[in-house]
Amino acid sequence: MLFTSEIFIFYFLPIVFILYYILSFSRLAQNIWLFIMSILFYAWGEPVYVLLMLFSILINWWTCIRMEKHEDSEKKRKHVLIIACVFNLLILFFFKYFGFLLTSINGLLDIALFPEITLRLPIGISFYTFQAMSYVIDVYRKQAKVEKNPFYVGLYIAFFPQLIAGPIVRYTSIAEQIRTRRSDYAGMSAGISRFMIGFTKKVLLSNNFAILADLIFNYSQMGNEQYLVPASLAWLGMIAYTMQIYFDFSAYSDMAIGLGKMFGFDFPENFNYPYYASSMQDFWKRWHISLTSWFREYLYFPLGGSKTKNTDIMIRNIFIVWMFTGIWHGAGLSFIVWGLWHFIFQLAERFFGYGQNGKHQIIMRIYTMLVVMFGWVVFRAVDLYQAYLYFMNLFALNNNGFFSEEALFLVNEYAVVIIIGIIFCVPTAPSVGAWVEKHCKSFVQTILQSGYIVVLCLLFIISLSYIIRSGYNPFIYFNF
Amino acid sequence: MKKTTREKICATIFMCSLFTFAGMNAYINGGSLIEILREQMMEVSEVSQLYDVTVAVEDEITESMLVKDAFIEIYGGTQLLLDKQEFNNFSFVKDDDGFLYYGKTYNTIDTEVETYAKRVRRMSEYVEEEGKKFLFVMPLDKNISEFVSSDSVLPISDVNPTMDLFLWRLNQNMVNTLDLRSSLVETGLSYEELFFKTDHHWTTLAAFYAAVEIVEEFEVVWGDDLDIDDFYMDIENYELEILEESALGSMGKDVGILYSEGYDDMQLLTPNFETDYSYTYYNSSGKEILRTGTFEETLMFTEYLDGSYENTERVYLNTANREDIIINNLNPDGPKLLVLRDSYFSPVAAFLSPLFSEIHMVWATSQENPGVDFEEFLKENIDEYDYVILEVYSHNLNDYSFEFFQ
Repeated sequence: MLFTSEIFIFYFLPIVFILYYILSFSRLAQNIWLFIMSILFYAWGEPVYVLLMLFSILINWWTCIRMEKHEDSEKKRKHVLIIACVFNLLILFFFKYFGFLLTSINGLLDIALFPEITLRLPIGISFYTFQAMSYVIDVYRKQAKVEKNPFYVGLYIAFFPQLIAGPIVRYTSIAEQIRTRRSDYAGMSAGISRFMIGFTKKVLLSNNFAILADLIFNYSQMGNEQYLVPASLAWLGMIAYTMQIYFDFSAYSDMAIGLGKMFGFDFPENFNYPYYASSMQDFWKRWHISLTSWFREYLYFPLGGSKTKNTDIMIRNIFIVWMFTGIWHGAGLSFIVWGLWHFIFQLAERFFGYGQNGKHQIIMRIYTMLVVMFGWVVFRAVDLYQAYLYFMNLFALNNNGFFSEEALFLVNEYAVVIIIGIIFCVPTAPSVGAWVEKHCKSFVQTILQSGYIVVLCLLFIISLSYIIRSGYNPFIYFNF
Repeated sequence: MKKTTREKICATIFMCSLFTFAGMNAYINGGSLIEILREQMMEVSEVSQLYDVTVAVEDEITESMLVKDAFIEIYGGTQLLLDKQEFNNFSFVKDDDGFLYYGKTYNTIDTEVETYAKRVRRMSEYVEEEGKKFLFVMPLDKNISEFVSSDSVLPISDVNPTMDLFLWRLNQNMVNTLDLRSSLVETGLSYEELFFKTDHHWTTLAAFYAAVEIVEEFEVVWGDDLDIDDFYMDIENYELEILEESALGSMGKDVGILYSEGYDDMQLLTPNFETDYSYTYYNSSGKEILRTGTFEETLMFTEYLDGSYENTERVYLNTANREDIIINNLNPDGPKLLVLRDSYFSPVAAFLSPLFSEIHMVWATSQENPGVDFEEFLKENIDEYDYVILEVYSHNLNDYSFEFFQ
């Protein structure tokens, strides 16, 4: 079920919300209600694979119970941890990478050694598997207590706001909230406002950028014989995808955080204006923060992180993290290359130290954006060959020329969306807000705040009209 | 005003309006939704079919949404404010004069039409073996090169190259064809007189001149002059009434009135001569209905001119009947015509009707008329008729329209 669907907005959310507050007399009842509705939320989109998720919840709950029973034996605890991690990774590997692996082996050997396996990817499997592993590892590290109630483990892993596309919430950051969270009108209101912002961002910005990006990438995919993509059109496609992926994912995170707040949960922030970053290291402190934190906490630090004095080991550690970051996003060589692309620039920044002295901010921001955008081309293209073709188009190396009337037409058609997208992908709104607070008189502030309410409500109604009238509603991170 | 106050006001508006709307929507549509869910669940025989259940329920939710038209208007109004020519991911495109078209970002030639041409050839051969006369009629598409510049950057769907290939193949196969594209443009009618702005159908005048062209083609190909006195095909013998801003076509309904920027004019063409018909039709639910009387009382559905703007384009022969039988009581000895057609032919048939003793038509696409074997239909009826016309509109050049003589 998508947050930006009629069934969610007009049926699921009101029912869950109203009954949740009716059950205010009992936290246990509220949690069980949220768990049941989370399972229904998932089952609506995955009526078959919901059983897989329930099985995963049970296994992770049970392994931690076993861990507690072996509290006096570190060796046994470690065995249980390994079993749990292998189980989680096996599920992920089988559904996400097994088919790709067999196809790759067949391709390398140039024979059909293995049959082609095409399994449908369970929605959100990468997210809930990482959450489940977070629970098991935190319990093993004794950073969190074992949760004996399977519904609560289930609620942590399957809670509908962040089940499908994160943020990947670490167990330690939410364990307490499951039992003892505070729900008040201020928190709920903040959550609703955040949800409305995410909803409008997704529907009005991301979906419109998606139309442009999909159109132009599909043109490129058709090949030069069918359609020559002029460089200006290719640049427009790349910029559109850059905007789409940011507004798509950050909007989902806004909605998830907002929904969490509506039910009294505080989820960590997942984005902090990544396109305002002044280096690639800075970018990854602002983009998909929960995934970066997960890898840092559960992979990078255990490998030794950057504290090791051996530079080779440090490089290896960074390489492994970026390799897995790439693989996590999808089964395909292009995702691995995308991960390694980021690895190269992270490493270069560390060794050459550029971007760390705060100088040449404008140049650094342009450099960061170019690296990020070229990375998105690899990420978006269906395979490496298509990415190669797209780069050729970008630099007019396909006999494709530069000027495109169609690019001009599309820019004209989507001018408002493009301008608003550019304004809001950098911290314009908080800066303007802070300036108004500092320089404007209180009655001006009241007028502006009232205007904000009117505009947000209007945009939400327009967004509803978009989801009712327009069928184009893709979610990029839905498939990760 | 503090940020928390602003958020509280937003939240209060959100909860009051959304939950009230959701409650009303559920109250009104909940019953049908549960019914759909129940029906779909009954059909589930394996787990994977559960996906279909959720899709069906979500479709029903969208379809039955309370005040859906208002949401469409909000969407269309927003597109208008943004000065967009492309509508809903290129579903439609609007040109500078306000004409709506089907959108397509990359036009290709559908080579499947070569297969369809062979089927039509077999149909033509069969008809001629039975001693009857066969004509394939291709109406003009809304994207007319004389009016819509091919250099335009607007992503308008262009099926003309596919139509060209299809007609070329038919001609290679010795099938009698009538390409109405050039002939109707040559009538001198303006683009606004030929096509509605808000619909993919041609206007009444265009349909009348199409009928004239068909009659002329009969004479050219077979030497059959059906209108000996040049009376029935003379527009001077018809009363033309323009109902200004009275029609909203199917495209207009999809994009809303705001984005359409108003309504279309409707041309009403009624005969100035005596008429008497017995007209039987089978509507979309298969119900047989008989109407008797004059042209206006039988072949025209003036009830659509009730000021509601909707379905005005259906004035002639209701546009979308599964099957129609028009008996001209004043011309019992005239020839008989059998037509396999789509919606484009409804007004044409009305204007051809004075020249024939009987016109029998069937809507020959399996999408609109499921379960009918059109080849069987033709074979069963061929003895009674003198002429057979197959008419297929450009956007219907697909498998659904050629499920015969395979």
